[in-house]
Amino acid sequence: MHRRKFLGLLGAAGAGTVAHNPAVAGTHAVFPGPARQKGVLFDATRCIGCRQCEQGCFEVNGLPQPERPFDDLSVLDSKRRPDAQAYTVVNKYFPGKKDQPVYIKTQCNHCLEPACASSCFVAAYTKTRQGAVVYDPSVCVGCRYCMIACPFEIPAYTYEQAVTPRIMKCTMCAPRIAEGKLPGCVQACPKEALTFGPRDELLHMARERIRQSPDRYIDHIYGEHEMGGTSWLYLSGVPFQKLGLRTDLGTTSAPKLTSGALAAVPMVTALWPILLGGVYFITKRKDLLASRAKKEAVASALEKAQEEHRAELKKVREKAEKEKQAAIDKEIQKAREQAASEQNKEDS
Amino acid sequence: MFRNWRAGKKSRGRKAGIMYPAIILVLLAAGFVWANKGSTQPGKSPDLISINSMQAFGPLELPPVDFAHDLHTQVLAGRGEGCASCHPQVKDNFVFTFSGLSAEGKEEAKTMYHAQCVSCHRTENSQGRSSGPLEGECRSCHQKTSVDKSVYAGAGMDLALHAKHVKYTEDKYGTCGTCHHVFDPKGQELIHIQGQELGCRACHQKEERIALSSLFQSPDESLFTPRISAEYLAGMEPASWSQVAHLACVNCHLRFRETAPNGQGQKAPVSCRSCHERSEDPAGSSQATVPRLKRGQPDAALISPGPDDPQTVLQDPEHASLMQAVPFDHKLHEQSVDACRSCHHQSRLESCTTCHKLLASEKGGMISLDQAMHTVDSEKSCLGCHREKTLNRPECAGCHVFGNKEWPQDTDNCRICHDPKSPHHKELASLSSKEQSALAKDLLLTRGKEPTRPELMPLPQEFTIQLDSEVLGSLSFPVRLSSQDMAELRKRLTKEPEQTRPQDLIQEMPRTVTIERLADQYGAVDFPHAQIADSLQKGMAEDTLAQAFHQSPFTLCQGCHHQSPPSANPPACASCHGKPFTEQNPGRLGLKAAYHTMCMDCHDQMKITEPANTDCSACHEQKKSRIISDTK
Amino acid sequence: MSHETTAAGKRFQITPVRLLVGGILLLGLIVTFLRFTQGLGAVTNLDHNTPWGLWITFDLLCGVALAAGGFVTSAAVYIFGLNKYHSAVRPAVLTGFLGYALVVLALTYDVGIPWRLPYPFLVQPGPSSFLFEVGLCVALYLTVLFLEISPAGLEWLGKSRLRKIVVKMTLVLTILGVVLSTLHQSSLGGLYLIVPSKLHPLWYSSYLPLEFFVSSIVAGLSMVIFEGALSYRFLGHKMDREHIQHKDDLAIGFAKAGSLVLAGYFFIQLTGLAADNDWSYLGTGYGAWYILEMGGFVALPCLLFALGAREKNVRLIRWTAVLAVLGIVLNRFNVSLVAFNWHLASDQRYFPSWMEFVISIFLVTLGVLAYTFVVTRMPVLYEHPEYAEE
Repeated sequence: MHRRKFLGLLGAAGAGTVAHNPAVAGTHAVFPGPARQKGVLFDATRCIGCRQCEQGCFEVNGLPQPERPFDDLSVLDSKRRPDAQAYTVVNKYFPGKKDQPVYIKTQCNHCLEPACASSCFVAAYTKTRQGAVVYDPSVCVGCRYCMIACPFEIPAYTYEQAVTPRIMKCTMCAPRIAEGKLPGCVQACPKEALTFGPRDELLHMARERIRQSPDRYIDHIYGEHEMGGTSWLYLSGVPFQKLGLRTDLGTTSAPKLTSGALAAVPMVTALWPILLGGVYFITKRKDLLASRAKKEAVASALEKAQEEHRAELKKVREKAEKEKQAAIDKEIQKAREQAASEQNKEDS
Repeated sequence: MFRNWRAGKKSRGRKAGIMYPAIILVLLAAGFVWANKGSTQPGKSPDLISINSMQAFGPLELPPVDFAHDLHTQVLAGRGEGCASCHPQVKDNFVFTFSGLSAEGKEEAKTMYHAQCVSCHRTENSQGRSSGPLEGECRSCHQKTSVDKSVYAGAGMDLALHAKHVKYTEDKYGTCGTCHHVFDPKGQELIHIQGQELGCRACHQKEERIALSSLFQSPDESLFTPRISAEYLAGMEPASWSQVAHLACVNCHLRFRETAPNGQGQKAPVSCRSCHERSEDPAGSSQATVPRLKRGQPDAALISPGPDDPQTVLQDPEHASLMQAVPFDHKLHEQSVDACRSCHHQSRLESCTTCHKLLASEKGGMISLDQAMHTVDSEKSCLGCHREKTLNRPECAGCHVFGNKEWPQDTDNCRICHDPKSPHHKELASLSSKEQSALAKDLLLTRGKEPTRPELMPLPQEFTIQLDSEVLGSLSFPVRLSSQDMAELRKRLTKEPEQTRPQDLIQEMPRTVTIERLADQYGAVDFPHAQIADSLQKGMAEDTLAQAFHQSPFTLCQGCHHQSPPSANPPACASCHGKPFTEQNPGRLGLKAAYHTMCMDCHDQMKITEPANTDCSACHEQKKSRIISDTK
Repeated sequence: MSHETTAAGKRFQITPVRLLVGGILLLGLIVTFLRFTQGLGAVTNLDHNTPWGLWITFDLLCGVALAAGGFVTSAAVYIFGLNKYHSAVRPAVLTGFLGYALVVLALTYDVGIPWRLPYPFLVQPGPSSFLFEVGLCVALYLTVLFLEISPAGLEWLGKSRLRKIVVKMTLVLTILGVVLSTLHQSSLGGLYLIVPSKLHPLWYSSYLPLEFFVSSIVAGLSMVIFEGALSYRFLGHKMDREHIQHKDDLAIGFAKAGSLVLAGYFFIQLTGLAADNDWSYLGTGYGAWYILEMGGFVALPCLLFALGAREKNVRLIRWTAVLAVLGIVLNRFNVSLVAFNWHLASDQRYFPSWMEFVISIFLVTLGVLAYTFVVTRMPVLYEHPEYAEE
């Protein structure tokens, strides 16, 4: 039994590892996203940290009034992240000299292949044709897996809501851009640090800016390839990690990280029953054969015993018969002898 | 809780036995973690010397040691010891290549280093003082640190330092030959030729230190500076700049410290930091007070391809034609640089055209004459240096930051340098350098001014006008001008054209301009136009570079009114800047961003902090509480 | 802890244990009320950087792993034909069923809008998500477990015909159970495949699904051993002779299997390290923690199980089972809380609030109470005499 179980497990493990092999053969292609999808280019060398973008976002999205007003620049002294009341925040960094700050605006990056959309089990996120990644609160169950999945740590949750909590995330003002208007932050920015347009145009523009002023920019467009590419692109004059942008995310999109393993699911469903059923039937067969053999052995042993018993019985009966006959003969002899002796007595 | 279960007697002992490996495993893990605790020190000090000379013996087994020199000199100084603790001396001079003993192979060299370093540490340690790493702590020295080059600056002589050296050594040492020498192949010795001194790096060009094996000399050979190494005699290059500089400079400084009168000796630097620390503001040496270093250089020169240039007109006088020679004000430019090698970058004090020919050649490092003069992002080229000056000085950067990097922008500007009045190359070849120099001086005086008007031909006072008409036939009208007419005519033809001066422009321009476009959420801006123009003009007024290149008075306006021809009535911003993100011109800023970018970037470059960029109310009042108007 | 069943006429005695349990229940109900009226923010320490906390880690991840005894035992008996463990099937399946039921209950606490939990199946599925996989398989498996345990209830209720029908489905249910368990156990590991940037490299590997599945087998085996010991100690009077006869064999046999599976799991972890070349991380603080988890809670139980099985030392086996269970719990905590968000500053890291602890303990208490209730009334630890044909 021990051996059987071991072999069964080994076979199952083998099937498991084979089935695990990621089915990436057909997924080496890079997904470029919908054609003419829009994006936003943020130029950190233009941003002055005035927070008008935050105010613009607040105005067009009907967000709650913040604790401190938007022209209070002292909030920049501590690092903030988008939360349940703000889709976007500006942060201040001092990457080089102590008195030269660089500002960066943080919001959803509207990835080409979003992790949030891939991870949502009710498909509450959609990457629209326009490029925006939008969230549908009417189906959201509140599992918060999208918050786990997002590599940029963007989605925020209204934990304080008891009945209908929801995710809060920048929408790239999808309704506005559908009407041909600009997103709130882009419209508000006085320095055009945010440029709105088709993503491929923005990439051309960014490359052109780098070419024209190579001393001003780091020769890299953040978001061109990170996590498979995002619709929100960044240019900077200082290394991106000094602005709180992670440069170790790699270029594999989030869905590709899980597609291999997910492809194994139908394999398991197909192979496991066959394997286990096979083991069961083999086991059953073995048991059946074992019990049959046992039965046969018992039957033959029984028959042998019975035969022996019968022979024994016959022998005993014969012996008894013989003895009986001998006794009768003896009695006859005795009677004859007695009769003879009595005859003799009468004669004398 | 499980006391009801009886354990087998045998298994108790066995169970203890299996615990031991488990404990050992945990301890091993702990030791592993402890030993490999992050031990990298970020190398941020300028005195770190990477001891990697073992490379001469093959691939390294351990990483090179980053040696903190100043730290050691400080500790030794605290003990009253000096350079002699580690560096050998030959004839009163220290050899600054460490130890300078001969070592035949890897093992010997390693032992030598360890004997010097670790034995000293051990001595310190045994006397209870804190010391460096001891034997067995290999990785404390041999670790991969990343030396931060940003705090290290290469050291060298510049004009200000040179003047100081001359001042301090004039009395004692007298001639330039104290430091400057040249190798005489005939006599196989180093000699000094007055008037032909060059920078050290003219010969000692190699930057990297020579590996250990090639530096070993036996102790009785002469080692002090200047030294002619056997390798050089055998045909190799002279010793590296780093080595000779330390040998020459530091030894001399050490001597100076001991012998200089009046406590001046302490000025001579001997620690690494004092020469090699990169200061925040490298510019700003006191150039103004440095007397001109006379070495027979001309005050002015004509820059053109030399007569020996394969491409010059002399090769093909009929067909070749070159740009006019450039009269170059050498005396003026001497005041604008820190050292001669800023331009004469090989320290050889020759004319640029000696190496840079019209066609790129090996001698010129594959840089043609055009590239050498005009490359915009080089520190050594004319245009590169000019551009650097416009971007690094606040009074210039405000306008120049918006300039395009690409060159040439305006071929009309070529004649600012390539003077049309320069003689033809054929003529130049026949002039001596002194004559060329004098000619250059003259040309410089008249540069920028309009060429003198040619003499007027004699004006006729009487002439006939012929007319042919179909109706009236051929008619002729004799004309006779009166002497008043003649005088008036002559006056009009010889009148100097009116030269508008920038100051006049400023007088005439509006004091403030009210910018009312886009005044929706925010009110109109009262822009102090004349004040700004005036401050820009003041920044230009005394600067020779600005005067040379700002040919037109309207150049003043073009800083802000860019991408348009120079004019007294330049176009408003809204002429070209409208809605942003248009398909035709996606890179052009919208009007709002154009306003703000022009103002704010100029302020940033000119280091103007008031008004702050984020202080909207300093320029315009906010009329509405919302900034996005097209929403409900 | 001693439960005394209330026979007719006996007063309900207030023992200290009963007081404690009552207190936990009361507190749990209060916190439940708070959770559903004031929202998650009032009750938990969850924030935007750490949306999954103690409830997901313990009640979901650990709960699902530790309830794996059901499929392991039923597979051993019905598929691999190891009939001597037959008496362990029902308790294991009951534990599994209650475990998964509590996981679903815990989810209603943790998820923001619990009444929308059926949405992925009824309204709009998101099949690109591993969570969808988990949800679907857990829901189906809960049904399977319910069907598997229903014969006990049906026997108690006397519905013999219905019982017969269900018993006939045993093999199908068992195979289905193994398939679904493989899928959802590995999918729980697959949840973390999407965040290589947030999970420490020593714990992140593309083999996470396989690692979670294999360790769930270990969890199942160990929990059966552990619970067998507890059941005998406190509910031994409910066990029939077959149970008692085979309990030692069960421990030894499962210990053998546990040792092998732990060895395999250790090897998979090593392979994961080698594939990603993570060796240099072993020298860090997290590395030491990882070595502790692998060495002390995987390699050590592996050796001890082998030893106990060879020496037939059931006491050692039982303690080792505790160690293995703790190891699985530690692994889930590491993946979900300790090594997750390891790159964040320490003041941004999460620690559960006391109310989260209350609910977790509350749910475990409910589980234990339910188990006790079922086991003291239904034929789980003994065979119903009318149906004892196997």
